[in-house]
Amino acid sequence: MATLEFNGKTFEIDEDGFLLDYNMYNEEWVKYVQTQEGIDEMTDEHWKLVEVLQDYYEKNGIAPMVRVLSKLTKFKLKHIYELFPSGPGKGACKMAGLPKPTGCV
Amino acid sequence: MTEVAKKIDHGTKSAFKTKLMDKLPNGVNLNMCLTCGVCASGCPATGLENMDPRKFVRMVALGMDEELTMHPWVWMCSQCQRCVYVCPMNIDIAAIIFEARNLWPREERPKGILGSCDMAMRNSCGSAMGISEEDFEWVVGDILDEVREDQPGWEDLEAPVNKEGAHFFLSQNSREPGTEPEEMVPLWKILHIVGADWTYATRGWGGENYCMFLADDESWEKTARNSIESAKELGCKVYLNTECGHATYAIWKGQQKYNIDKTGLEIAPIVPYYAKWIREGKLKPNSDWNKDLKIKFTCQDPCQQVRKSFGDPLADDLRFVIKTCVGEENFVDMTPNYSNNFCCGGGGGYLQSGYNDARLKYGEIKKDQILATAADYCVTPCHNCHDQIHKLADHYECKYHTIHLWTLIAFSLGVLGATERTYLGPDLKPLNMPEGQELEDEY
Repeated sequence: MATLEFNGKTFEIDEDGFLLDYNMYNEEWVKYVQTQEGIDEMTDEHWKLVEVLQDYYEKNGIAPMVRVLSKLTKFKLKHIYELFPSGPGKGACKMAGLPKPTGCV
Repeated sequence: MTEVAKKIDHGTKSAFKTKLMDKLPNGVNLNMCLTCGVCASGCPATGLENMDPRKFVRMVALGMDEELTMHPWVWMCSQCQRCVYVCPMNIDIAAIIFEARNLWPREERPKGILGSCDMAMRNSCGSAMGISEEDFEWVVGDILDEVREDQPGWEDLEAPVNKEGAHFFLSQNSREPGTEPEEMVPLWKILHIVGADWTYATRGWGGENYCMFLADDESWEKTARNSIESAKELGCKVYLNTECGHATYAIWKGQQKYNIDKTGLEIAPIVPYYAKWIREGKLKPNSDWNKDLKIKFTCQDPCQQVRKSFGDPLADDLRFVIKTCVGEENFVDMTPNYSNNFCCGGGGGYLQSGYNDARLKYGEIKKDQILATAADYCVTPCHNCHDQIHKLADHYECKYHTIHLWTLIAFSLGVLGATERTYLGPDLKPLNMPEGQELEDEY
C-alpha cells in the first residue's frame, strides 16, 4: 500500500497503482490517471468507458470481460487501446477507480 | 556494542514445530536437517527479506515462532520445491512454507491472493476473476461465431459447453475469456484437428486456484472438488488441464490431498497429449518455415507441471513438441533444465502477492538463463510463467518474446489466425498466415 498526492488530494493505492477504495474516486484521480496515460484531453468516448465500467462494477462487483466491455460501449478493443494506451484494465479500469482485477493478471 | 543473545528453546516448546510434526508426513521431519545449505544455494528467493530456506528451517527447528509468524518471506517463496528436490534428506520445505502462510490471519494475507480465492468461492465456476457461468458461455459462443465467420475453413469449428459424455473435460484459466479471448482459439483448432471429443462446463470450468496459494485448505478442497464433480457429472473420462501450471497442480495435488473421489476420471496435463497426437500423426506441425530463418527457441519447465507433479517425462514431451515445430537445430535448452530448472518467480501466487519488486528480483536468474541461450523466443506452457517471463523481458529490457505452446503449434500447423498473434514478435507475425487472412494494425 502506498499514498499518492496529486493536486492537493491524497489517494491510497495498491502496489499496481489502483485505488484501494472505489469511493475515493474523484475528478483529481481522473486527472492523475490522465497524465499517467498521456491523454491530452478527455473526450466523450473516454467518459463513456469510465461510466460503463463504473456502472458494471457497481452492479456486479467486478470489471466486465473485455468482450462485454466492447459490447456495452460498441468500441472495438483496438479503439479502447487507442483511447487508453495501457488497455482496458491498467488504463480504463484504473481511471474509473476500480480495484485491480483478481486472478492471473 | 555487543548484541544481546536471544534465548531460544530449541524447538521443544514450539507450537509451530509441533504442529508441523503432527500434521505433515514424515518427509518434513525437521530433525533430519543436515544444515548443509543446498536448499538456500539453489533458491532464487534466497536473500529476499534477509531470509533463505535453510535459515527458515533452522528458525522453525529452534522454535523461533515469534520471528517467523507473519514473516513476509513466505509470500516471496514461490513454493517451487527446488529446495525439496535437492535436499539430501528430503525435507519438505515447501510444505513448511505452506503452513507458515497459515500463521497469517486469513484477512491479513496478501489482498490480491485473498481476493482471488474469495472471488472463486463466490461463483460455481471457480473463476478467480469472478466470471459467471452465463458470461463464460456467452464469450465462448461470441468468439466461436467470429472465427466461423471470419476465418475461411473453420466454419465447423466447435467449442462445446456442458456436452455430456465428452471424453475430455477441458479446464480454462479465466485470463483468456476475461482479458484475451482470442487466445482460446488456437487450442480449439488443435483439438478440432485431432478429432478430440471435448467439452467445457459452466460449473467448475475455472482452472485457477488461488485458495491453494492462500494456504486455505478448506477453500482449495472446495474449488477442486467442485470442478472434479462437474467433470464426473458430465461423464467425462479425462480432466484435461490447459496450459496452466498451478491449475494442473492444484487439481492433481488437491485430489490426492483431500481424497476426492475421481473414479473413472484421469487427471492429465495437456503437453503429453500434444506429443502423443504428433507421434500418432494426428497433429502435423511443420518446421520448414524455420529452415532458413533459424529463429531460436528455448522453453521454461513449469515447476507445477514438471518438478512438482509429472516430472521429466513431461519435460521431454515439451521439448519434442517444440523441436517438431521449430526444427531440432533451432532449439536451445537453458541450463539447468528439466526438474532442476529454476522457477521464474511467477508461481506461488506472486502475481497477486503485491510483492512486485521481490518478484522481479527473484526472476533475475530466469532472465539470465534465457539470455544465455540467446534464444529469440521462450515457450511457456503455463500462464504464470508466461506472465512473469514476459514481464521480466519488459523490466530488464530484453529482446526475447514469450509465447504459449498452443501459439507455436498452431503457427507451425499454418492455422494461427491473424487475431491470435499477440505474443509473436515482428519476425513471425506476418509468416505462415492462413489463406484469406490479413494481419491487422497493432494496437
